[in-house]
Amino acid sequence: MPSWVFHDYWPWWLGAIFFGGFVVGIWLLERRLLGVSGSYAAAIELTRQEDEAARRLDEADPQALDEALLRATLEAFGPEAVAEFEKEMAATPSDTAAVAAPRKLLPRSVHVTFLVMLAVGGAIGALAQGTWQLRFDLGVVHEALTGGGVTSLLVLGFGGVLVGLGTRMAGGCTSGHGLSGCSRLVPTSLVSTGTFFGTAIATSFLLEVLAR
Amino acid sequence: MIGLHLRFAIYGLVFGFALSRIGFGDFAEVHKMFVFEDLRLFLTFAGGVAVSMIGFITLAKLSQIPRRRFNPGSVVGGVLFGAGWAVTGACPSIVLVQLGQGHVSALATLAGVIIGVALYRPLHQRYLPWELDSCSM
Repeated sequence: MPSWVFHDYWPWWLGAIFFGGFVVGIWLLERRLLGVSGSYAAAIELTRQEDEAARRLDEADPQALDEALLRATLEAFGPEAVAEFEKEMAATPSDTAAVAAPRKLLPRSVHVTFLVMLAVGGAIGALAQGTWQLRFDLGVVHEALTGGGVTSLLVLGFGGVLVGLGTRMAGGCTSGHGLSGCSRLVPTSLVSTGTFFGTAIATSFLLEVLAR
Repeated sequence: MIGLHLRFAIYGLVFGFALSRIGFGDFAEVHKMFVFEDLRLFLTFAGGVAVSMIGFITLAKLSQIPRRRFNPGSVVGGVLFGAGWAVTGACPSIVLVQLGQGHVSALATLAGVIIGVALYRPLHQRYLPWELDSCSM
């Protein structure tokens, strides 16, 4: 039996197959793109922009809304378009007019479940490998590079803030931009992924130099 | 609703397990990737992108998958995130995996991530003119 089954970390090809299968699988099963930083935002932010928009729509007077929409349509397309639309609507039975609705946002609690289970999954992974250990540092390499003890903890807290701000500003992280976006050659994801990998490489070399 | 929770609980569990077994939750492994001492994790990631690409092309209708507009925060956000990833070894999912593995100090990172995410939207809306972008599932 290969050593990675119970002991060593997975070889690169196994991890690659897993990542690909997972990202595509989530899309096929849920019609959603994997994106973990988005789950943080959904779990943490007090008001979600989309919730806010939906709430305002719910609270709006339906008749006023219809009138506003009609006004906007007339402005944009002229009265012929409205007449044509009404003729079309009269000709088609209403139930066939329904198109596939966009996926509703997951409730906040589902994002929380997903995030908590990431930690549980990590625990099971480490237990399966026999490396689970209660410890108060990230290992000798991290201690050596970041000063050790309380200094290392401060670096972690500060670095965490950078991760939080940065992933939200970029609109995605290693999963949303890196895997879901790059695999479909989405420009904003390619730029973001190139930037965060590049910066992480530069920062890591800087850490090596500073720690010497 | 319970079904939804159950499904996403399984996804989280499977993803967390694999990230840990791949070694992404191990700071030393992540650092070795960034200083090119060991390319295994790079290859894992790049291979994951390639396998996803093949999967999306063969199994999904690409036109049905939403594509996102260019986000002006991509570069500066990427710089902040990259620096944070290098010093903590953690991206948003990894910090939770580190915690699960028993690394208590990842709580400091997690506190930072939560603060950063909570602060970002108000800061953005106050100072930046474009619409906030998100990869929310």
